Amino acid sequence: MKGHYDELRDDSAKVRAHYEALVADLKKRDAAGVKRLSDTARRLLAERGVSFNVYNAKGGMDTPWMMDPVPFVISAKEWEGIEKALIQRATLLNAVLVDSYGPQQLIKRGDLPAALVLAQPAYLRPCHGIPVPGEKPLQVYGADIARSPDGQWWVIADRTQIPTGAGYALENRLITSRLLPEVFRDARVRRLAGFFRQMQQSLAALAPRRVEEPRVVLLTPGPYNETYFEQAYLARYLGYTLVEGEDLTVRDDRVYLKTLSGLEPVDVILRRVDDDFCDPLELRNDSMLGVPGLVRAVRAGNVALANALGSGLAEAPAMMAFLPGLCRKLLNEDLLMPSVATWWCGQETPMREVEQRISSLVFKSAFRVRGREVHFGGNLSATEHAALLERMRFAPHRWAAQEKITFSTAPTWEDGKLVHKPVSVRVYLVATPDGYMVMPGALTRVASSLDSPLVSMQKGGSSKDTWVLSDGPVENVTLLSATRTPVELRRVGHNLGSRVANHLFWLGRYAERAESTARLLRSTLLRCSPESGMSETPLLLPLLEALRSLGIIEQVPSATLLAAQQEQIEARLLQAIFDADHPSSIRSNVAHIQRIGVLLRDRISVDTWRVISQLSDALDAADNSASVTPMSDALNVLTRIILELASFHGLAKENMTRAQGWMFLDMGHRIERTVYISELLLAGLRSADAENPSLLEAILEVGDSTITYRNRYSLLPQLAAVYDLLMLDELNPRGLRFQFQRIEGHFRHLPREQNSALLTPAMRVLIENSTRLQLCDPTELARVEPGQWSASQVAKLLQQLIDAMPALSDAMSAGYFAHSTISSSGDVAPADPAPPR
Amino acid sequence: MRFRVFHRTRYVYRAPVRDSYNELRLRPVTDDKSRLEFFLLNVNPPARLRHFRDNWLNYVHYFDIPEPHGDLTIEAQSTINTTNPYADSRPTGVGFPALKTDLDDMVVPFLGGSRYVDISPEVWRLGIDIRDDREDVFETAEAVMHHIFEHWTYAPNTTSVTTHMNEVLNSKNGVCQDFAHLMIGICRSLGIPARYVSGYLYNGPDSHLRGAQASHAWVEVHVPGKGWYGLDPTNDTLADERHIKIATGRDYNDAAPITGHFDGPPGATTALQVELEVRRTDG
Repeated sequence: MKGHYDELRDDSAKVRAHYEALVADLKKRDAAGVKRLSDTARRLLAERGVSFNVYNAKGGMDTPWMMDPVPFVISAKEWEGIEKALIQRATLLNAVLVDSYGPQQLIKRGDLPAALVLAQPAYLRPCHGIPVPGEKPLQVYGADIARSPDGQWWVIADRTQIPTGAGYALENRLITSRLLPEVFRDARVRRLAGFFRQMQQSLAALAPRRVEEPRVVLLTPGPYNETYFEQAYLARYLGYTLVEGEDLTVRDDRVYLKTLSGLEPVDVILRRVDDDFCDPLELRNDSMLGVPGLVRAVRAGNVALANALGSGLAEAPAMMAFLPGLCRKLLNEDLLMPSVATWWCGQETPMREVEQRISSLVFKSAFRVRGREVHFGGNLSATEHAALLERMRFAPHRWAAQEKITFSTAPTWEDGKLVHKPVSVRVYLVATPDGYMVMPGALTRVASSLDSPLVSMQKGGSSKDTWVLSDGPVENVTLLSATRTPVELRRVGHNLGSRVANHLFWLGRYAERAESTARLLRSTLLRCSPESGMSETPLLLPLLEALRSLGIIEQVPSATLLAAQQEQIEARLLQAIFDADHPSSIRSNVAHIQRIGVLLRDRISVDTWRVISQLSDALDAADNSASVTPMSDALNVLTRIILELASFHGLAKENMTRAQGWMFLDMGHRIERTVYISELLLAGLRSADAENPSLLEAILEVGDSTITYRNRYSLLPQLAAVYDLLMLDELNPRGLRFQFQRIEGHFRHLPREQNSALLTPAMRVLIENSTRLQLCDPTELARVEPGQWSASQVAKLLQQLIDAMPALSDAMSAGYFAHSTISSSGDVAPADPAPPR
Repeated sequence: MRFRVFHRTRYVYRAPVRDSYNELRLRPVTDDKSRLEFFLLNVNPPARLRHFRDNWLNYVHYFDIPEPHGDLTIEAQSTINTTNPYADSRPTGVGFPALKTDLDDMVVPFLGGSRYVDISPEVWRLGIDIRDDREDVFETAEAVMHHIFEHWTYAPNTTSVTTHMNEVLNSKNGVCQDFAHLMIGICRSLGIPARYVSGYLYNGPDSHLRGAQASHAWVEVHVPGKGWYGLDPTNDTLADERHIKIATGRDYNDAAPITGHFDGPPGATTALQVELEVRRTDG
């Protein structure tokens, strides 16, 4: 490729030595073999749910992460140079941060222009003078490097605030090591785990409290952030609790995590929330992501943040123009790896120089700002030149100009062949007691086309695993044996956060709601199929009534009109399955399950995630427009949904320890099932045909208790026996009594119930209704005077049970969930509260 | 002049709120022109009050109330002795070239944009027109003040505490906070360091001046070699001994008297009552 440095071959078109092993391995495969690699990679990524959220794109949530199966390879010798240079750079940037938020000698001596520091939006004044543990505000650092045509590496961007992507690098590695196991083993690729172990140690060492196991949390902006997947993944890999601002609270200048059993102290926060969003009180009062009072807690020295607040200052593009000088001043060395040539227009000489060569430069904001604009001088017309120049002259200090670098190309698999694509490499460093440590690997990003001037995952690029080769044998590290002291055995994990408990509870509710709805719809659809010729009308009505009282369909025609309205009824039933705008449809419920699944990404297993994605696949598999879906398709979809949900429950039951998380999931599940069974019986058995065995059969079918019934009675169903089975039998997992016993059992294990001397309101509700059920006689229940259904014992009882559920749910919310949104109070006029997230 | 100030703010919530965090900038300034003789701050529900000095050297008192509470009262009482900074003369005689000197970290931050202030080409053009051929820094600032007073309409309830200067620039109306932001923007675009002042204004027993009996806001500009001087664009007057200064900052965001954050249902604050009395005690 002319004009680019070729990573694969040297000038004589010979494959470079460090690529030989990989090329040999790829050569052994035919085109179909390599294609298989690429397909497998895509499948693995999709199954593991690896995603990257692209803003403003159609279907923006959960865009799959793109990974090219051919890794980027760097030789041991070359890496040595990169390592040395980036350690120097991290040390330098750290020193600049320490000075800027401390003595400000650089500004006072004129080595760094005051405007470049003090006028930067990233400069957080409230953080000036706050001591940082170990004088290392820069705990984790990321550098974007790229190679120019002459083979020289350049730093094209610094990431000093929130260096994203290390988790993706890890994920990419996991996949390539599975795709190319032999060459990965033989080529002596250096492992990544050691770096993350160091990160754990470094962060733990920041803890102000001297405790054995300091609590480190990863503060995320939430699932709508572009790299949420990575945050959840890293949190799980590093063993940190993933928290949102709402999960934390500051009391007496200390940070605590809200958990079911109260507040637990937090020592270190690895943050993914931008500097100024971290504290709505002192930094940005419109932030919904932060923790009010956090700056105070930092100021008091009670919590450590990585990276320290305000560290975004050092990643301003304009800063690059001053690094060579600063390096000589602060470290007494020359800068080992140059930054891409940068001019800060806030000074007169550089500004004049820039004006001269406008068409060969790239113009961007001097500071890192959200929604930044980039202008390529070469692509601008004469009028655009003039307009740009005018804007720059008006506020020159806000602009920086940079030279364009032609990136090197690396072999990449695309459309069935290997092609050359421009790449840039993000390298990660972490602070250690003796300087910085470089991750022996990186996230290589691939531009979408040869002439694409930008490499960005936001703009549709792809990524690669990065293999750093070793001269010696490769060290094997695993993260779990991070400490030598024997593990203290425990039976429970860290205490469950209130927000997570709430999500699990609702996940249980929606999953059960979807399943019950699917069962009821399936039984109804079966009975109104054309073959039955609507002859089973009397059976259909009670089921439709049940659907109506559950809010799944709107109205039910009278018995005489039933046959005439068959088509409308069918259409309504299909809507109840597929219509996304229908709040109680199966599709809506599945959407809720997915939304909550995203929120719980770090809590649920890969398999569970897979099941959740298959739920919506099942719905999408049938034709999207509900009106033309044939009945048989709809029945298939319902059956598939029921099976997927069964595996969801099965996975939860078999994989979750019986700790608090499981209890909340199961309680949601049980509460919802109680409502369904009660409504089904209440609406289904009120009709005069209640004794009709076919109707009872249908009720048993919806209640999934047909087999049990047949085993016990081998008779046509009778009302009293149905009541006994679906209401009173404590052994039937579909029966009401069973639900109450389970909920009661869970409640007895909750922290607040254990500590309280009197029965809590929730416990009262449970015991009262459970006892009511226990005292019932099924034959009594079956005795209903004609026309007196509403006054009958069974109807009253069922209604009481239904009414008890919201009370129970509310009692749980008040006791265990933080069900509040955040509002802000201002002076003069109260500020409008922000909408709930 | 000697004043007694009583300032009570009361929030009433629809339903109990919790985890309330608050910062108060309510303590009047002591400097070479005014002296604080007495200051008492009370909050109810009772909370431990602590304080620190922020980057602009304002006193910030803060407290938190984690327990659920249905209302919140903040009460500040102070006694202040003030003198007129302009008693001897106005700080004229300093030309624009001097603005290039005397730049330190207490001045530089007041030259650029901030949360509610933007240095846009539009505001710069307005500034150039107002400056005309003036060479004197302070006189230019006075001209800016006159211009705003003449061309902008004082209109309560047309803006909110979060209204940005750019909106005020276009709508041509607002209240003291908005005029202060606009004046700051114009001055900064001309290279004159300008900052926001929050405080009280005394205007005699029968007030006719705007901003009396309520929190007031005005502007200070930095005259190189002489210091910061106050101008009140809402009343087209220099800030004299009737202006009681509490806090300064880049804009409202830095100097807001009360900022807070709590957990509660949306629209939780049903009532906000402010009682303010500034009484002269020396005749």
